[in-house]
Amino acid sequence: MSTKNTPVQVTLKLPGDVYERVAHEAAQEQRQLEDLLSNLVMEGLAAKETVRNILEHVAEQYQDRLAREGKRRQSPDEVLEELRHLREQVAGELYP
Amino acid sequence: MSSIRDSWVSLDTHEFLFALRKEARYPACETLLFDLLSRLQIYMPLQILVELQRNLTANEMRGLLLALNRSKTIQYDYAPVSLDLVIPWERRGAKKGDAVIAAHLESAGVHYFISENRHFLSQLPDLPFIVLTSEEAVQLLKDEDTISS
Repeated sequence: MSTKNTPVQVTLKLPGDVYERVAHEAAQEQRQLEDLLSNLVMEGLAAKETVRNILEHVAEQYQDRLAREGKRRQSPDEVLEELRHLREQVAGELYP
Repeated sequence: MSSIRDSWVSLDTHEFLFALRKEARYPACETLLFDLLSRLQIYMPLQILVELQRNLTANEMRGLLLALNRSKTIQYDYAPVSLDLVIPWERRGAKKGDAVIAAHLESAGVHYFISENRHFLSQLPDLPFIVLTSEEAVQLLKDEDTISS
């Protein structure tokens, strides 16, 4: 049987000001502190996962395109060199 | 040294591209962008926005901006910085493009510039911001976590 959904008790150390904010919010929402903290941790994990998921998707698209354009094997130094040229080009356009 | 979590931070264009390429030589670029973005206050100057647009398709750019909007704070600067602020940096020996970046960061009060280009303006005295590699930035965030825990 999976234990993934079985609650695990943890001890948490929070800075005083963070604790006060969470306690205040829990009181306002008439929720148990433990319940609110648990939700905040889950929301934090979801937010982090979302950023990584978004960027994993962009990275996949970008790498596929680079491969099609024959640029996937460019060394970091070659990329930096291209960007150095681009920087001067863009600056020249913005400040002719 | 100011806390990196409480300071404005800018990332050089290659930081984004190396992260998306998952460049093996610079793994901290991916860590910083994919995992630690929510801890940073990002300032995005016009010059770097345009450089990214030239390297990414509209769809790729949209995805990147969507992720950037999840940072602790994000400020996009769509206006060119005043030429009056660029010229002094050129006079001090910076190439025009680097001078534009320096002027942007200076005017916005950016404290950290993250770049693998270690010699970025390093020969110029009195830089108003600190240049960190992605690895150093990741380490600094970890160190600050350790101190505050």
